[in-house]
Amino acid sequence: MRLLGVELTRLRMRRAVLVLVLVGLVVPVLIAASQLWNTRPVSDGDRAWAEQQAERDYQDALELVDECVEAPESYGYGGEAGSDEARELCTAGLADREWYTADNYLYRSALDVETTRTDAAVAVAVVLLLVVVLLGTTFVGADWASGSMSVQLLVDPRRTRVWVAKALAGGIVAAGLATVALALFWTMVAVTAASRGIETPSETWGRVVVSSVWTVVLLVAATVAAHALTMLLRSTVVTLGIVFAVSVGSTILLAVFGASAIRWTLPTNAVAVVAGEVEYYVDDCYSDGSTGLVEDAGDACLRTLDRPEAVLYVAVLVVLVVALSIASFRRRDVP
Amino acid sequence: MSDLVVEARGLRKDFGSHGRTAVDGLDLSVPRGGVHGFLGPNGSGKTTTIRMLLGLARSTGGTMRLFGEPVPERLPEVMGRVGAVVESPKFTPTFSARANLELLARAGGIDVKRVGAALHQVGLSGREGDRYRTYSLGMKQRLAIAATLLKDPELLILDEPTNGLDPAGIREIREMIRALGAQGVTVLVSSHILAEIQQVCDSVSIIGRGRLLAEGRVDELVAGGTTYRLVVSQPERAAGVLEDAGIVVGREADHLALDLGDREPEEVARALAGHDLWPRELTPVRRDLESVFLQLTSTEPPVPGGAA
Repeated sequence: MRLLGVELTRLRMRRAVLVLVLVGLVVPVLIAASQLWNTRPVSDGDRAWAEQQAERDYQDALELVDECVEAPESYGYGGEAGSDEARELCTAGLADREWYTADNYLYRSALDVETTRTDAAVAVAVVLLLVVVLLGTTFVGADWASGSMSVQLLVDPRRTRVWVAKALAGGIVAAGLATVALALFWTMVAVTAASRGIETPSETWGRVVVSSVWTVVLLVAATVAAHALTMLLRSTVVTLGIVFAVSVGSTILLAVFGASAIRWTLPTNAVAVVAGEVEYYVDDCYSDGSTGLVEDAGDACLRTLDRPEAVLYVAVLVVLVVALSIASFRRRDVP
Repeated sequence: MSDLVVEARGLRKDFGSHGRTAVDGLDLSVPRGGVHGFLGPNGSGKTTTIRMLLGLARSTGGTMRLFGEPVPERLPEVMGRVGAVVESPKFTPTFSARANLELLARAGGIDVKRVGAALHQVGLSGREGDRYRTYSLGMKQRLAIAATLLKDPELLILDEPTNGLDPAGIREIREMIRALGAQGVTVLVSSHILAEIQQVCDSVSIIGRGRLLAEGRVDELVAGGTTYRLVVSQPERAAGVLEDAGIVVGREADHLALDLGDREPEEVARALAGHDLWPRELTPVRRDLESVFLQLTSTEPPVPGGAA
C-alpha cells in the first residue's frame, strides 16, 4: 500500500498525465455534445429551410422534364417527342411530387440511446483507450528514460512489488478517468433525452450500464498492458511503435488471411467488449469453395463475435504481456 | 555477526552466452567501519560489481553478502541499511529536489521529516524547490548523496562520487566521506582518481579486468617500497654494472629505476664509480597508491569496450 501511494503521487505530479486526464474528460464531452447536436429535434426554421429546398429542387426537376419531353429517348423514356405520353413518362421518372416534400429533406434522426451506445459511446471508448495507453506508457517510460528506476530499486529492491505498484497506480487512474468520463457522457445523453421527451426502456439503460462497466474493465486492462509492454521494452517510443505495428498488423492480417481474420484483430475484439458484439462477414462460407464477398450473400456468411469471446481474447493477450513483463523485469539488469 | 560488511567470493558477470566477461571470479572484502577504496582502471568491473551487490545486475557466478546476509536473496532485508549512488545521479527531471527525496523517503518507509535534514547536510536547503533538471552536475551529485543519507545508512556505497565536480566540489565530497567514515559509517568508494582515494581511504581493493589484484590497508600497500631514480650518461652499461652488483634494475624511458632492498644508496655510487660512470641524479622515490596501482595494473591490458 505504501508503494501504491507513492506511485499514485508520482502519477499525479507528472504534467503529461494531467494533460492526458484533461483530454480524456474533455473529448467525451465534445463527442456527447456533437451527438446531441446531430440528433436535435427539427425546428420551424429547419422545416422552412427543407420546404424551400424541396420546392427549388422540384422546379429544377420540372425544367428537366421539359428537356426530357423534347428528347425522351435520350433520357431512356418512350413516347414521341413533344407528346403527352412523353410528358407523362418524363414527369413520372424525373419529377414525382412525392419526392420533393420537406420530410425527405430533413435527414436528422432523433436521439436514440441504443444507437448512441453502439456508436458514439464506442467512439468515446476508443478515445479513452488511446489516452490510457499513452498514460500507461509515459508514466513508466519516464522512469526508464531518466534512469530513476534504478534509484527507486535502491530504496525498495523487491521488483515484483515495484512493478505491481506502478501497474495498480496506472489502473486506478484509468478506472477513475473512465468512470468520470463515461458518467459525464451518459449524463449529458440522459438529461437531453429526458428534456426532449424521448422514452428509453429500462433494458436499454441496463445495456448502457453493462457496456460502461466493460469499457472501464477494458481501459484498465489496456493501461496495465501498456505499462507491462513499456516495462518490458523500457521505452515509451518503442512501445507506441509496437502499438502502431499491431494496428498495421491487423490490416496485414486481413490482407493475408482474408476477411475472416477480422475476428482475430485487436480493434475488433476491443469493440466487441465495449458494444457487446460485432458482426462480420467471412469469405470461405461457400460450398463451391469460392472466396470473396458476394453481394446479398445474406446471413449465410455473417458471423457474430460476442463479448465473452472478445473478453477471453483480450484477457489472454494481457496475461501473456504481463507475465512476460514481470518475468523480464525480475531477471534483467536495470541500467 | 560478520566483521565484513561487504563480501564477494568468486563473483562473476558475463554479458551474453558468448559475450565478454566484466567480472571474473572477484573476491572482495570490506571490513566494518572506515572508508574503503575500490580501485581499478576504466572498464575493470567496479561499477558492475557494485551494481551486482545492490541487485541492479545479476551475477552469473559466485556469492555475495552484505552484513553477512546473502544477496540478492536477502537484499530487501538489508537494503534499509545501505545507501548508494551508482554512476551518475538519476532522478525525475521535472520534479523538485525535495519532491524527489520525499517520494524516495515514502517508498522506503522513512520519515519524510528527514528530507530537510538530508538536504541541509549536503548544502541544498536553499534550492530544494528547484526542478532537478535545473541543477548543476555538482548539485545533482550532492542530491544523490542526500538521498543515501535519508536512510541513516550503516554502509554507504559511492561510485565515482566526484565525477564531473570542480575542485571545490571534490573537496566538499571528500570531506563529507571522511566525516561519515569518522562517524562509524562504512563507506565503499570506487574511483580511478588515486590521490583522492589515498587522502580519504583507510583500506583499498584494487581490481583489474574483473579480478582482485591487491587488497589491504593503504599504509601497508605503500610501505617499504622506496625505489631510486638514477639518471646516468650510459644507462645500459650502468644497468649491467648494477645488475652484476646484485641490484634490481628497471629500465624506464629517461632513467633507471633501482630497487635497493636493504642496501644503501652509497653502494650504487661506489659500483658506478668503479667503472668510471658518474650519476647525474640519484633520488629516492617513495611509493604512493598511484605507483602501486600502476604497477599492479600495467600488466593488465585494457578491456575493449569493457564495463565501467
